[in-house]
Amino acid sequence: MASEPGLVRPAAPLDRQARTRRTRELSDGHFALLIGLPVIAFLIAVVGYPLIYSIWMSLHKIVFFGGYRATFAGLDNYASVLHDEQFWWSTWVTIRFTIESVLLTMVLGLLIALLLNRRLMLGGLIRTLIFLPWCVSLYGAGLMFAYLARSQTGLGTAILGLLGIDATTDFLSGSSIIEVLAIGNAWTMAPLVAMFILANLKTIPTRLYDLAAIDRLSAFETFRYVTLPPIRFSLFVFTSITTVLSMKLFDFIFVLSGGGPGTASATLTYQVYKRSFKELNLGLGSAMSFYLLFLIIGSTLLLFLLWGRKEKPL
Amino acid sequence: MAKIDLRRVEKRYGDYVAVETLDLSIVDGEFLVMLGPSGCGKTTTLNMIAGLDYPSAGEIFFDGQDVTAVTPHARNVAMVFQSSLLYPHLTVRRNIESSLRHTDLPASEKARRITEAVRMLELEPMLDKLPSQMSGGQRQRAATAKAIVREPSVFLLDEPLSALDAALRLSLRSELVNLQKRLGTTAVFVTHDQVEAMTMGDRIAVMSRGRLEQIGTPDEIYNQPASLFVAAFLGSPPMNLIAGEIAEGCFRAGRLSVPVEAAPGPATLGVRPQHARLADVASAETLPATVYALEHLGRESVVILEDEAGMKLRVLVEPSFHARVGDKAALAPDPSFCMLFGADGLRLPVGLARAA
Repeated sequence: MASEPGLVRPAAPLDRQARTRRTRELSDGHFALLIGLPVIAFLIAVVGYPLIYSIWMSLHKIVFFGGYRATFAGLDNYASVLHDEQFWWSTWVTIRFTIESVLLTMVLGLLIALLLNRRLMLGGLIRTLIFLPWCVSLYGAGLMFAYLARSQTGLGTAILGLLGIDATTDFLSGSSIIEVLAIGNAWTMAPLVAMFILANLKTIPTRLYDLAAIDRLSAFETFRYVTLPPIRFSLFVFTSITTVLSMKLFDFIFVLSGGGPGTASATLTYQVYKRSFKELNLGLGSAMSFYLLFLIIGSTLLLFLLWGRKEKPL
Repeated sequence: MAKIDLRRVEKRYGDYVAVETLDLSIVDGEFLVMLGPSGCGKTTTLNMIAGLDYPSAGEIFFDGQDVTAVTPHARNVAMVFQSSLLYPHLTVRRNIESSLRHTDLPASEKARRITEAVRMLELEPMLDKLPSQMSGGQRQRAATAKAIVREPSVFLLDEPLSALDAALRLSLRSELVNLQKRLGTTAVFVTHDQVEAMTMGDRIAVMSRGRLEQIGTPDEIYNQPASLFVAAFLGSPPMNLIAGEIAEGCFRAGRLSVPVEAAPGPATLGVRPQHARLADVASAETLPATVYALEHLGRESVVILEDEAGMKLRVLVEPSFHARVGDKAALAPDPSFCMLFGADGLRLPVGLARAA
């Protein structure tokens, strides 16, 4: 108030009154803590407790038969995981599935975004329809893709039938099951990526494309100099997000392939599930889940170091 | 350098007519301003000259050559867009270079042109800056440099100054015209600002609702407006337009009466604020009104009057003039400077009777 010249300053008693009242008020930090408390409590209950419990489990040998026993085993579980051939196979499956999923999702998302950025008849309706796959539950999507890939009911067999070829295709085989999973995974995630990229594309002034036309930039140059810069940050963010989501995907795989045929599609999440709940080796499963966590953190960190550091948010 | 002819050019978007059969000749080396309110078709016309948009009908000629279906780059046009658009993440240097990226010029010639343009627009200190790190005026100069390195046949400017603040706009106006005259390149400048049009253009083409209302020098446009629209759109403060009727050699609107030589019928009388004076409220043949506001412009003042129907009228007065809001006054137009517009909005080609 003193900064406004010409204003009469309030009388001193009032001033003092205000100050004594303030001492009874909470500081900003305390107030933030107070209103944040329910959330903090909730997070401790649903994140902190399971996390600590699984660390505890990973350090113990847990036996159910003949009565529940948990004996401290140190890092034995972590060591056994490294000697588990299935673990290394699953790591490879996870990496292959993740790379395929991320590439497909990003390319598909970008293409959808570029398509939706054009003036379309019934644009709103088309946007809604394209967004729908993201709203489908992974359980439902899993059933649907299993149905489409299977030999009797599958898309491939139907197409061959239309061409007059009497043969069946089975994409649920060991050699292509990961691709089927990746396509299904991309089908559910791409719409979300597309919407965010579309939002970025909408910020590009259309006159910039006119400028590119006057400079006779090729389609590739126009993409590189006009379209790409504002979406690069989103591309990085969504590459990271889809990497994480793909690595920890479980329900879709569980429904579609059940990790099979054989162990062809047993990703790490599936392997953790199998070790923990089918074989009831909770200690080993927990230890393996931490290796998965390290893989997720490691790959996103790598993404950040190789790519993300160069990107600036808009 | 080129002479540009638009012959019966038309642009439709479905049922919407953006530009209606336009005939326009742009003389080699002139600075033509296309003026009009938003949605009048001026930018669409500019896009068609650029080749960014193709006419629905009609032809466009550059130096007698039909370029109607030729791409922008092949027409060798350069364009400066609103807010001086540049590729946002390229430095000024690379922005300027991108103009010449797809030309067959030898590298030495490219370098010479860029150096020349950079020197001319004093861009040396900011060649490695990004557009976002520069002020509006600097961006404008960078966009201009990007345009001139191509040595285009025509400069097309789409409201390049509209996003700048008033003081900067003022200085860039003369800077642009000076540059255009030095280079001698034909320029087409689109704006909705009548002051820009008057100060910059060799000729002004006034457009309204997809039609060319009038084309002429600033003097012609200002002193001999072809239509009511042109008369109302140009001039600051704006022209007073009074609706009335011509009968028995006089234009009449209420008590106002001005002697004219024109055929009887409904008409609109136009008189610029500097050609009207304030008269005693009781005087005959004037328009009675009350003072609504007084605007001081320094060198002169504008009295804004409101007549009984609520219409605003403006009169230029001496800066020493004093009046209070609500004072009664009357407007007396100078008959020798009055214009008459017919019911169709066109100016009536009549001499006004010499005032006694």
